[in-house]
Amino acid sequence: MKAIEFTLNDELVTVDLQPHMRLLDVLREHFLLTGPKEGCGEGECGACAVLLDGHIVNSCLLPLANVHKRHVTTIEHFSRSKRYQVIEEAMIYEGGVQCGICTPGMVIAIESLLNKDPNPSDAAIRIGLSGNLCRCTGYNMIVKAVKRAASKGEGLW
Amino acid sequence: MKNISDSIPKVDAHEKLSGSAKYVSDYMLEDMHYAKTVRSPHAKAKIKAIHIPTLKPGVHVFGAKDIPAKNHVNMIFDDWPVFAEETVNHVGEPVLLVVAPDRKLLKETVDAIQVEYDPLTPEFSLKAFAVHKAFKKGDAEKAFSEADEIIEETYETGYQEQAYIEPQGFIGTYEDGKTTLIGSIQCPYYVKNALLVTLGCAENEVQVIQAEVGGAFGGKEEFPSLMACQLAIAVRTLKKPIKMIYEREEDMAVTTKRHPSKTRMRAAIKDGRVQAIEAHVSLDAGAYTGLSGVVLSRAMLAVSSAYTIPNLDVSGHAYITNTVPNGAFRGFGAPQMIFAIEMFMHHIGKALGDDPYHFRRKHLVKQGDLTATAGIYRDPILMDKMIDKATAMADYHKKVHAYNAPDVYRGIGMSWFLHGCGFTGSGEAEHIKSKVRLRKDEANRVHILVAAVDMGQGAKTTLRKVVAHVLKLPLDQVIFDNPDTDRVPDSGPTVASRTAMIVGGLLARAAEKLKTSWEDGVAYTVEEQYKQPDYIKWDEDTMQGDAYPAYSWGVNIVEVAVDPVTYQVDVIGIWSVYDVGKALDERIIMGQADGGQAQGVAYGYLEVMAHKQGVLQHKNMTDYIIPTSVDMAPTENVVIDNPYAFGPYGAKGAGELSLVGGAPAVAQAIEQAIGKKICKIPATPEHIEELMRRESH
Amino acid sequence: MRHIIPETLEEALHVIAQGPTIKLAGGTDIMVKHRASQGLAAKLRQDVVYLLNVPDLHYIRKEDNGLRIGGMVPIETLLHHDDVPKILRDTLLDFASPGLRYVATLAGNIANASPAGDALVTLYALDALVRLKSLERTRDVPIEAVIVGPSQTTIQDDELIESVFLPDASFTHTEWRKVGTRRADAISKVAFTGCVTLDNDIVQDIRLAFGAVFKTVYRNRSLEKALIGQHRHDVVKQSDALCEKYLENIAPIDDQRSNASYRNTVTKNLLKAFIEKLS
Ligand SMILES: Cc1cc2nc3c(=O)[nH]c(=O)nc-3n(C[C@H](O)[C@H](O)[C@H](O)COP(=O)(O)OP(=O)(O)OC[C@H]3O[C@@H](n4cnc5c(N)ncnc54)[C@H](O)[C@@H]3O)c2cc1C
Ligand code: FES
Ligand code: FES
Repeated sequence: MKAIEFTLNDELVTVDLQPHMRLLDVLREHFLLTGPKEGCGEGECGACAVLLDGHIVNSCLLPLANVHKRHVTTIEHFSRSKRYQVIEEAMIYEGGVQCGICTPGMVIAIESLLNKDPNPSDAAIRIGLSGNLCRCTGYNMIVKAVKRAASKGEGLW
Repeated sequence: MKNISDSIPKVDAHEKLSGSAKYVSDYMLEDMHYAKTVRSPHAKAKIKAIHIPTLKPGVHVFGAKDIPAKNHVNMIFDDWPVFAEETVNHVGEPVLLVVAPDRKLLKETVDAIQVEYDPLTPEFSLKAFAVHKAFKKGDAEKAFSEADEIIEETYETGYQEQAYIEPQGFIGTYEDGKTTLIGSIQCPYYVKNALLVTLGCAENEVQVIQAEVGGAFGGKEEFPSLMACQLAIAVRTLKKPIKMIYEREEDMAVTTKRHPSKTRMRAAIKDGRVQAIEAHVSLDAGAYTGLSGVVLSRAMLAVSSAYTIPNLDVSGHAYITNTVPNGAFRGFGAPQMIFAIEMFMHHIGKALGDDPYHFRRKHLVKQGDLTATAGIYRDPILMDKMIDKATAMADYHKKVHAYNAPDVYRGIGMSWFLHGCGFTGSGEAEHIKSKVRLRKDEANRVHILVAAVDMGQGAKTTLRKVVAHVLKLPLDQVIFDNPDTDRVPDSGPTVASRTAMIVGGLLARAAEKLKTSWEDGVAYTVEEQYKQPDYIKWDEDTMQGDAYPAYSWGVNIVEVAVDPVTYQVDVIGIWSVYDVGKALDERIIMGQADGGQAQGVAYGYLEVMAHKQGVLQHKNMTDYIIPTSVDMAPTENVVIDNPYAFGPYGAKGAGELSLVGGAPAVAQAIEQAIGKKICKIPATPEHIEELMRRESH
Repeated sequence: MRHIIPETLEEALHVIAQGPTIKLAGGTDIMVKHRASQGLAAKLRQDVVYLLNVPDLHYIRKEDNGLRIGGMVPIETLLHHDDVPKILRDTLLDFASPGLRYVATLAGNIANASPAGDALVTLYALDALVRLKSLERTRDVPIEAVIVGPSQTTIQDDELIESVFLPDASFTHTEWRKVGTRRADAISKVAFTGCVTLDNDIVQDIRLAFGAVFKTVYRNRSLEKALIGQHRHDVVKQSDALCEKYLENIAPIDDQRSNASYRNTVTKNLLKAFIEKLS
């Protein structure tokens, strides 16, 4: 088996790990990128979300081999971007953060959504966030945060 | 910051958003070992023999025989073993703990261990009770004998799983004779005290530190003590860092849940009013009592909720069954009872041919009335205003009329409720004796030293605000680090909607003390301890007097559409008005409102958990359904000021209030939409189908 | 155990020709089914071929009489592709969540052969043909001949799903109903696809497919055929009788998500509602 190489947070990395490891474990334990969390381990909660070529995916379901030659971005890197700043401001302003365990995944979902649809309707926002379970907020304040980010971030997406 | 209620950015929001906040599973330590529990596959069995294979180097197994002192988890009722000894009493009961240097070896060892059991006949029905309680108000017997009419109904509620997104976990370390446990916990001192009892060691040999907590909702109140005791035994023996993080399936299968309940209610009616209610509530405690007695109390105390009923005869049992122990969950018994009483009052109104709204309203509590336990509602009650506000926001009266028409499959429901703030009865004064400290350092920074945990509810922000406000200091001069039992005094557990009101109140007083004694550049510490207001009298045995120092109040309105083809419920809107005394931060309270309502409403129509022969059928997040963003409706919430004299800036409890009224509001809405009486939650599409089928025959 | 990430279809076919392998597409079923403890690689006990990123399997192409969809096209792409029939896009909008849709594939949904596979219900209704390819041969097999039971297919070890072909069809009315455990990110308790073509009030074509109420997706061609040629009003008149016939044939189960009684009633209600729209 050839080593797996992929772009992780803008850097080309080559890893010699089992290809059927979960990307989530590789990120957290090999790269010590603990922003993605494990909430369920079976694709249901979205806490483990990362960007694959700019689109949200659940890293707990992704075998490492499937990211070969692709681009993975975690919250650690995304949080250095301008878009993140806008999302952060909006999430704080609207009160979208409580315990925070779903939050990095939620931010990834928001980025992925706005990337596709810079001006989403309420319904589109709810669908865009539907793979990210949050037990604390009841979602409304997050939905408002997405609206705010979309309007404040005019032109960024 | 002029008004304390003005919202400020949450102090921990940036770390959480950017992924740098450190939860327990994020700790990666040098030479870290891993632990996993060997559990009973039987609901009830005798342990015949334990066969442990030859262990590979570095692998260790611990069990009941390794417990240095007491084999029970220290909590209110001490019947819950740390490790099963002779018998197991529920599926998933811990028998052994395996520790290994890597997870592969760990898994192999767990799989290779064989425990031989003699299965016994388990009990799943409510037959043997561990706790019985009762109280009376007035003369219910007389009221029943004089009644024009007697109405009776039974209400049932199911399990509810906390489903915090972060499963439970601890990491333990050992240094210089001290065992330190870092965990996802609500109550650092519960954990510490449990360790002292089970390990039988000195105070300074154990230390408990709270990691960032990824949701708790009561689920991390008592259960973590069990994990901590098991892990600490291993850590003390091996003197190595050991990590024990539950995966979702394990967490769901073995941690505590909301008690399923059955409440029988009878009402004596005379002159169109409820003169008396006789209520009996049965809770399924699961295999061990744990906190069930206290949960039972809170359920019983909520019997008349926001109504004044002159005569009451209330009793309850917590039953032992061979199922996973149930325990604390936001609301703590109240959601079960408030579902029952709200539905019952509504059903009585209908049965009497009265408009349920008017019928209920004429029974509403007023200031000065006697509580269920003959205490006094001393403080102003703004429910009239709150109901008017909520009904206007929701356009309730128009809708409730319109939806009475057949075949519209729409409904709107409303609940009124209260929640007692702080511990039940004399708990604060006699058991908790909360202590807080403020330490001022030479740089004039003030450190908050309390055991209160921020599990998302914003305690770090609100408590800092309170102290900064009193001292007129900028917020960044006030420091609040996660509790560590070596640094902070026991200010009590982070439960029972007590943190803002009680801990916050003590901190405000400590801050006043600090303000008057303030000396620039000098380091010193001030302390405050809880004192019960003199007028509060409570008799634990007879359950008479003031059960709580104060009450928070709420109104929920829920509108639904039910699909006549699939019976799926679509929540269209939620409108709420709350009285939490004074919001210590408006936005944080709105977050509590939205999140609590989501849990409360979902409890009423969506969240299903059941067991078959003691095995939970809903094993993971795919089976146990909590709402997504698409399921939740837009909400409109309003908080009104009604400052409470003993709370900081007038604040009362807010954490649980928003959950307790959701279920009856959504159930009433569904009831209207389908034209069938609902006495059981969750009112799932399957239940609705059954109701429609049953009555159409 | 070998792990192969083929770069071409050719290479993939060579690998699977050598013996039984695990063909891993998006992995959204496989990684759950073979999940190990946290930190450990999935419990895969055979050679694994990772197909998701094989470029040859990523195409959507109009052909004579229909649309051909490469086996590894993610659900998300189909959702936004104009050539994909609307009824299939409607279906896929209810499929899992955005994160899953970006890696989950049609081929995976087919080969997983779950009675609750959402895409399958509509693929049955659309008379989809599955192209199975091995080094030696290529066969185009109707979907109902590929799936024979829960997790059971007629796909041979040396074959893979190369693509799915959707024959052209135009309908007067189509309907997709997913009755999930909640409104999004849910598994179906019952699912339904109905397609009908009317010409001068006469039924020319009608297709009724049900998910999660039988060991495979349930479609009954003889019952459908009996309706063809009838006036729509006559069909409406038979709706109760028709529902009864379907109920006699389906076999829903009780499980942690729902129960047989509910599934029966809802199947009946969905069918009745669909038929009554013809009036
Ligand atoms: C949280 C969650 C939600 C879900 N929600 C839904 C839902 O709403 N609706 C729904 O229908 N499903 C749902 N699923 C199931 C799953 O996502 C789908 O079945 C998906 O289509 C599987 O595709 P995949 O590419 O991920 O398949 P994989 O997991 O890679 O493979 C599935 C099966 O197909 C085989 N296979 C894959 N590719 C080929 C090929 N080219 N040739 C032959 N065999 C092949 C594999 O060997 C395996 O047996 C959900 C799953 C999860 C985890
Ligand atoms: S941990 Fe990956 S979706 Fe829950
Ligand atoms: S903020 Fe706690 S789960 Fe979303």
